[in-house]
Amino acid sequence: MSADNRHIWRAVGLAVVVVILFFVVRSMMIPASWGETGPYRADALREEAARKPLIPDVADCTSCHGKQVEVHKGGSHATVLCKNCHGVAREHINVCTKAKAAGDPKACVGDASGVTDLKTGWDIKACEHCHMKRVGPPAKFPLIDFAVHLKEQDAKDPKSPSACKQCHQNHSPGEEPDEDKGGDGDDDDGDSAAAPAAAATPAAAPAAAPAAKGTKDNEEADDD
Amino acid sequence: MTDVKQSEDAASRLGRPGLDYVARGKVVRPTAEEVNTASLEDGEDTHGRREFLWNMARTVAVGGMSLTILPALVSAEEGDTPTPGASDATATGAATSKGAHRAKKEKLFGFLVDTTKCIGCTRCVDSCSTENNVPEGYLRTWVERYIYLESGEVRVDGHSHTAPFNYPEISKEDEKQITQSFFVPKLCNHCIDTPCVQVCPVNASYITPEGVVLVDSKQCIGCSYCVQACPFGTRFINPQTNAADKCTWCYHRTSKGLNPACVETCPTGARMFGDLNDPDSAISKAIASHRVDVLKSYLGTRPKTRYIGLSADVI
Repeated sequence: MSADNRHIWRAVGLAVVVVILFFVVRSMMIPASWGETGPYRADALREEAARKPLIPDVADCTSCHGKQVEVHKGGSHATVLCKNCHGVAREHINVCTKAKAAGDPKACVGDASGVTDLKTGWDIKACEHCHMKRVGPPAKFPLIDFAVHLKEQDAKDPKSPSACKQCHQNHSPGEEPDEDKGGDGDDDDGDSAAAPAAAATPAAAPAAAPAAKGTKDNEEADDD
Repeated sequence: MTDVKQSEDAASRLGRPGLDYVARGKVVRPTAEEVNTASLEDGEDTHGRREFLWNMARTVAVGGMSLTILPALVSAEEGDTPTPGASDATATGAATSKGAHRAKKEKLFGFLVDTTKCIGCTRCVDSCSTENNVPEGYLRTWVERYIYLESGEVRVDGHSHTAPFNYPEISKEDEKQITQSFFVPKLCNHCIDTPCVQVCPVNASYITPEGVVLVDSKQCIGCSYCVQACPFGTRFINPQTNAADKCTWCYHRTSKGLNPACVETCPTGARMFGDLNDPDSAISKAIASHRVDVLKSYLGTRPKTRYIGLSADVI
């Protein structure tokens, strides 16, 4: 290397260092899975896909509550998801699955189970969500002025959350309540446990509830 | 001397220090030593330097291109476009015609909202927020109400952010004036030509192979360009993650074959979700048999969320 072209080699050396630095910095800044399926971090897609669904679909309920699901399917509320009235109930399903595996199907209902996301029994608010009289819904959809309707139908206890059940079957409200059909007994238990205000109705005496619940759960277990 | 004079004028005009030889009023010739040491500064050698610099520039440019652009081109060819089949689907019903372009097997998710069925119960809003842990005060989907009065006035209102189902009361007088009223559920349109993905400076927003627009919350820097870019107002900055958040069409459910939470919950079937590339899917059949429209089609974002029963007043 003569003294005359030293400056060129210096420039070349600098250029090589810059190129190496560029690739080192680039590899440090770009995430590992970048560009596998497009100009983004492919792991982000996998992370999103791996999230667990929370809201159950009807299939999750059918294994234990087949009778109620059957009645529900045939009625006017067939398209109403269980969740809309009963809450998310994911905890309930998880606890039940474990309890069933452990051979103790009763352990997933009631306060002792620790389940907080399950709603049982009638709640007039659930009815109001869709049927309350208001401006907006299509003309053919049945809207009800609840205060007027309960008065007209001469309901016994119009302020009770379960006032509707005097005339309507819970899982198929277009029909009259029918004790033989699955579902009503279940909800009587729920009333006593979840809504103390409903205790006024004779069917839901708190003292009778635990025994009734026990028999009900046994029936359900037998269904499977 | 005239030559020198002219050169002097030219030198002062151009202000070139290189012409100092003539500017001093006499022609100064460089010594032999000067010629040897500064040979590159004169005559043909100047041309040689320019050529050398040009060649260097060309070499660096070509080399740089081959190092950066070519691998990107190759990977783009290998990895296909981010939205396979997306270019085949138009914003309106054309995607459902049973043409040869439907031969592609990849799924292309689509969403259909039937405004004539929506009863405004907002169970979808509730389910969405529960399913996706949406922070209070923010919504990934919402339901607007359009009310037409006899006076020609069009009133648009919506439920409260914190308590869905809280639509504003309509006075008794106004209620008599109502000629028409309906609900319009809104959600991310998952556009094909997405303004939100285009503006993201860190590529945190992307389109999945199924055509779903998602946000990588770990990559997102929370600059909220995308929040401003979305013409439908469906994005927000999640205060828990400080990243952009939006409807994912419940990708964690749909990628497992389930319906999105809102579709699952809707009691009247006003929301429908499915594969647009499958001519036998319920959504493809519904789109083929109805007159469907998209929101703000004039913006050219080509939304994949389509609507039945839209009015021109719905924006």
